[in-house]
Amino acid sequence: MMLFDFKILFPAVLLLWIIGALIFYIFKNKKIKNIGLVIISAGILYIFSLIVYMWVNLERPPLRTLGETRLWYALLVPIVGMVLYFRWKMKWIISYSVFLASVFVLISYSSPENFDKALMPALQSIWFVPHVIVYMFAYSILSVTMLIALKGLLMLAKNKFDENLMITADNIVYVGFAFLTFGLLFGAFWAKEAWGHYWTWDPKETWAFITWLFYLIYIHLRYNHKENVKPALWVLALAFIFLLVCWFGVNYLPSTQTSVHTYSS
Amino acid sequence: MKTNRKIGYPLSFVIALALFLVGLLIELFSSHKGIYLPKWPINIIILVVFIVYIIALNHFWNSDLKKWFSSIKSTVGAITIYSVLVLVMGFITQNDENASNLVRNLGLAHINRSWYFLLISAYLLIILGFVILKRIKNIFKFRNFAFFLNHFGIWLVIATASVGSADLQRITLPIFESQTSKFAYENDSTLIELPFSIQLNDFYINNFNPNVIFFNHHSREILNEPSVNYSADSANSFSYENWNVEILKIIPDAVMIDNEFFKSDTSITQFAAFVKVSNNNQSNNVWISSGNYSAPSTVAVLDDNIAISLSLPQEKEYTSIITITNDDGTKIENLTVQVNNPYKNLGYDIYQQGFDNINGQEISILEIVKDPWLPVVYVGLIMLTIGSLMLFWLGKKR
Ligand code: HEM
Repeated sequence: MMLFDFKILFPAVLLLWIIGALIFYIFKNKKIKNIGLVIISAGILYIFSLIVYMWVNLERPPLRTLGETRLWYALLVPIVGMVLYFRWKMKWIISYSVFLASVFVLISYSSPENFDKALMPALQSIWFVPHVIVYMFAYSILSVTMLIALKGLLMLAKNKFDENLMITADNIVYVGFAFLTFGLLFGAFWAKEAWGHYWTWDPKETWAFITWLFYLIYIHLRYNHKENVKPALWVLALAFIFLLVCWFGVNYLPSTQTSVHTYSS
Repeated sequence: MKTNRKIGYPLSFVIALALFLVGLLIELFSSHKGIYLPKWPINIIILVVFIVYIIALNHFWNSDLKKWFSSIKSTVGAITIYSVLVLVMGFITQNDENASNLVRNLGLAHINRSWYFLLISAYLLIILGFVILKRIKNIFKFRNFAFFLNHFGIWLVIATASVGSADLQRITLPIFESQTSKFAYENDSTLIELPFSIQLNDFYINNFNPNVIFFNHHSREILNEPSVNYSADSANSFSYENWNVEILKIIPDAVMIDNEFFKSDTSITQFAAFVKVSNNNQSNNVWISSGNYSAPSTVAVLDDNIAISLSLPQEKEYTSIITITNDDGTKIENLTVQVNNPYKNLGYDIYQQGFDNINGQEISILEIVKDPWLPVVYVGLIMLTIGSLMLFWLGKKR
């Protein structure tokens, strides 16, 4: 179908998001601002319908390859951005999330993938969809904390730190961390069904655990200890780097040549 | 603890690092093979003693230092060192036969079985134990209950998964069709007798339909992007440049006789498709096939440059149909075992692990797993799941 041709879809989405974001930031009037958000939502809806279309067409959930998870990320990041905007009135979050999602759309545009139906037996499980979607949610939410970490470290360097930033970070980390925990646990339950054991210290598992542990350190550093701002911000930045390693980098690490979890070739 | 405010964090790291160094020393002077914890019933005794030790220590020890041990400060040092060890595990290939001597002697090739990992884990569990006992008094407050689920959950998981790993049995059982087997090797070394025998009645593989490939028959370069659009499904049709291809008939398990394909029951088959290829001036019906390890694929040349063929099919599922006979004589007939669909019998889980092909004869590889500690570990995992759900709901307290 023409409507779902990536060569048309991706520029269209990018255009919608740029126009939407511009309207959102240029105009002061609340109603006009909301029109900007509606236009951005149209782009989100477009990606959503693409995912549904692929799901139907491939006869399997489009969650197998990195390229496919990128689409979910491009879907979820702006949604998370909107929720955070309405919850905490963070205006910058809109531009940030739209920008991040656009990068992912651009990557998909410039390196199109082959989509085939094949879904190896290990992936044919009731855990597959919840496991990956929960992770994509966690990644989308936690990517916001990366920016907060950078912003915070910059503010510290300039000696004008705003405590509110940490409150936002804490809230987002709690939500993202809960999803990260679900992802890890669903993965364990699934591994038991598919490979006979819930935990084998496979490189992908190990890196997921590392990511989880560093957000855990952040939560404990921040608990009742307001003075720990600087180490907490560093841990936050580091944790997100580990998250990226877990998601993309694992395929390239020497320690992972034996991983059972790399499905994209 | 006012006097300790300054040294609180440094102390936390000093203690954790000291423990790590002690562990490293032991590791250096040990066998370099890693620790194998004792099996049942020694491991349960160790666990009970450990729990009693934590509770007693918590009860009888009353000092500022003890308070510090159940605080965030000691926690941060302990979790950080633990995390760094896991991080190293993420970079260095574990259980690598080719690891250098240095890596091996430092225990870096088997970190999760090293002395320092054991010591740091035990230390983490002691702190965590103190923390849980500190907060357990008001456990029926919602927030404290969430706290309990998360912390006792992770305590259970780490403690019982480590101690229980000694009792985990993973046995590989390769089996031919109509063969019956009661013995199997664990880790290729110890022969294990199972309390039941398994007979393989049938084994079969289902594949996804392959994709049609257009390629240049001089350079062998693939021209189309093999994707769902070119799937060799019955009645599917598609085009490349001026060529149109229509799938007339498919035979997933075919053999070639006199340049034609027929359905076959033998195990050396290939995927074949009868297709109509046409352009503006001509139309032909031809066979193409995917080939297999003993036969090349069948190619149809369309013009001076372009030819078509089929890609190798990818596996959709493999299925073993087995009959189990328990030692007491009870029989369970014709069960289906597939990947993601194991079968439970007498405390053993029977998995479809893979398959192999020896001299054209298919061999199904089953894995048989016994993990008596699984229920306790799962209690911990489920506590963590519910605890995280509550955490998500509660958010951070202000
Ligand atoms: C791995 C070992 C762990 C240790 C040693 C540890 C230790 C601690 C300590 C000492 C506190 C402060 C409690 C107090 O002073 O009353 C705390 C709080 C907290 N911990 Fe942990 N913890 C661990 C694991 C976890 C895990 C796995 C989670 C979440 C899944 C978690 C989530 C929390 C939360 C959310 C708090 C804040 C308490 C609250 O909001 O009520 N911790 N932890």
